[in-house]
Amino acid sequence: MKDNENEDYQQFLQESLHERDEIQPYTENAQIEIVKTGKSQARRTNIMISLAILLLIVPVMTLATYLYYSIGSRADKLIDIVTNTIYITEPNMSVRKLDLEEDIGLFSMNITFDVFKRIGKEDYKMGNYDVDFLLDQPSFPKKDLYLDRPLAENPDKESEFIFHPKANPPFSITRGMDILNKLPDGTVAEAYISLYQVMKPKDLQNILPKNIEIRWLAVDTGLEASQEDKEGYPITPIGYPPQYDPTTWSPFKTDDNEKAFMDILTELEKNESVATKVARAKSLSLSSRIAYIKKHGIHIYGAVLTGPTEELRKLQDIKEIRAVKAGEVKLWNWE
Amino acid sequence: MELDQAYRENVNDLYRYLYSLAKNHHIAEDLVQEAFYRAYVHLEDYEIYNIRAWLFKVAYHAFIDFQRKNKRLIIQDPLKENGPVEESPEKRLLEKEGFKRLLKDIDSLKEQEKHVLLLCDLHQLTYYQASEVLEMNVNTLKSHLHRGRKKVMKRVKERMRADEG
Amino acid sequence: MELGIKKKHRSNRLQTISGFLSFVIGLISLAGLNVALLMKEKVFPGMFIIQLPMLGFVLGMIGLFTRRRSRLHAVWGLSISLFLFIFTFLMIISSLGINYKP
Repeated sequence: MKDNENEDYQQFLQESLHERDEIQPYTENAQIEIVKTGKSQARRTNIMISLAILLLIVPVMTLATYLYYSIGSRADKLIDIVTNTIYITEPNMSVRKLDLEEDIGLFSMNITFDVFKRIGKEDYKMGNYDVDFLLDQPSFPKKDLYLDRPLAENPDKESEFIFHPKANPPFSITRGMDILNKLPDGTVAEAYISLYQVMKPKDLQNILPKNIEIRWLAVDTGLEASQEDKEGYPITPIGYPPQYDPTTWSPFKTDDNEKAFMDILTELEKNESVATKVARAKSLSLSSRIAYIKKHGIHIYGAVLTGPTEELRKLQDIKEIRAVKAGEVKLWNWE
Repeated sequence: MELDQAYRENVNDLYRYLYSLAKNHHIAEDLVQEAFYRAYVHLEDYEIYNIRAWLFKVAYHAFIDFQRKNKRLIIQDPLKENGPVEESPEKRLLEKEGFKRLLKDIDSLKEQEKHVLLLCDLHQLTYYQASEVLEMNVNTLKSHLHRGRKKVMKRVKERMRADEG
Repeated sequence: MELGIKKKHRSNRLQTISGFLSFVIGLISLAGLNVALLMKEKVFPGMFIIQLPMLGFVLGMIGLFTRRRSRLHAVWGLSISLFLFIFTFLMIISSLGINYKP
């Protein structure tokens, strides 16, 4: 019964289909044309889509890069780390962040900025830095410094200008006064002093001649006696400028530079790999140094001063000062 | 070009299929063109085992999209739309009484049953191919087909009885 | 037996003209943007990110209102214009978030 019904259906179906198939809706030519039209239009569409996808690559990657650097102020934080590292590790050096230029490429950022030193009463441009970032990883900065007496790029125990009371200064440091003595009057200069004893930052001002400005203080962090970190890598002094800095966006545009210094250290500790790339020393050992400062408070063992050369010569008569080394020299600008 | 040739052999079949779906010559004609265009646009996206089944799949989707776009349109009476004067395959198709009745019967079925019957019976696709086109489970497809055939047969018999009586 | 379908009053066009134009304008804008980005222009030419995409957007919208023809080109044209607007907007926002100087 069921098979029968199925057969009936199939028969009916075949008849209908036969009727239908007698008709050929399209001629051979019309068929060719339909296929050809479909093909050529599809090809044009596909070319346009491919082109669109290719042209989207650069804008999408550019946008992704900009979003990467702007979300969470990532670029600004990286810039702060770089400039703050310079304040902390380079004696008497400052950065004008307002003039800092950034250039964002594909998944990379380049920053360039000038560094300044105060010699006497004026800030002199002392060179520029050029740092490339690949995402958040910096390359070693390309520095172009025009200093007469630069600090060593690859620091070792002999080459530093400031020494801890417990460290052995090289023989040459004791001759530091020779240069100051030979300089003519009417010049201004920068002098690196090392002390016999660590002392509080405020006490230093009291032992110095009046006409001298303190530009940078070297802070005792427990590593300066040996001048190396736990692994034996050489370290350089870290410190901060004690004076109020009127430069726009300077981290030391504050009345409490000691606090600003500690804040910067804590911030740099979180991004120590970036800071280490920018600093001259291969190691900053920030966690142990921060711990030491928190335990003992801020004590200084050296400083960078500036003033008229005549005034700086008086430093050799001060009994607390163990050694003086001359830095940059400029023509008179004191008054 | 083998592919072009294979496509060309299916032009008429695709027109018949799309005409059964749209019941309008002009729409069917547009959809045939659209289907071949799409078949070429998406060529790279699919592994094609069976060109015929593939073309039916593309045609089916072209029709579904067309239907979606025109949801709000009042469906016009297919017999009246273009006037009877124009010589078209539609006219000639509709001259075949048996086929016209079959289409009407199939059209009265539920949507799913209608699509299954059109593919499996009117265009002789295998169960597997039809299930690919409709993206439907083979077993579901078989039960739709079974029910659809039964309903069509019932209508045919009723009509025959009416003719006799 | 003469069985052919005569294609009277009917072009072979599958896409609407407006959709096609929208897509083409989108491509031109994208190409201009690519050049600007690759040349590292500091100031983007507004034509490629504002004026042309606006035109493409309008044409794309017109192209969407079609029943018979494919919307593919219109959809691409619209998407590219929208992308360019979003691109411009996000670039401005994020540029302000990077080393912003008042």
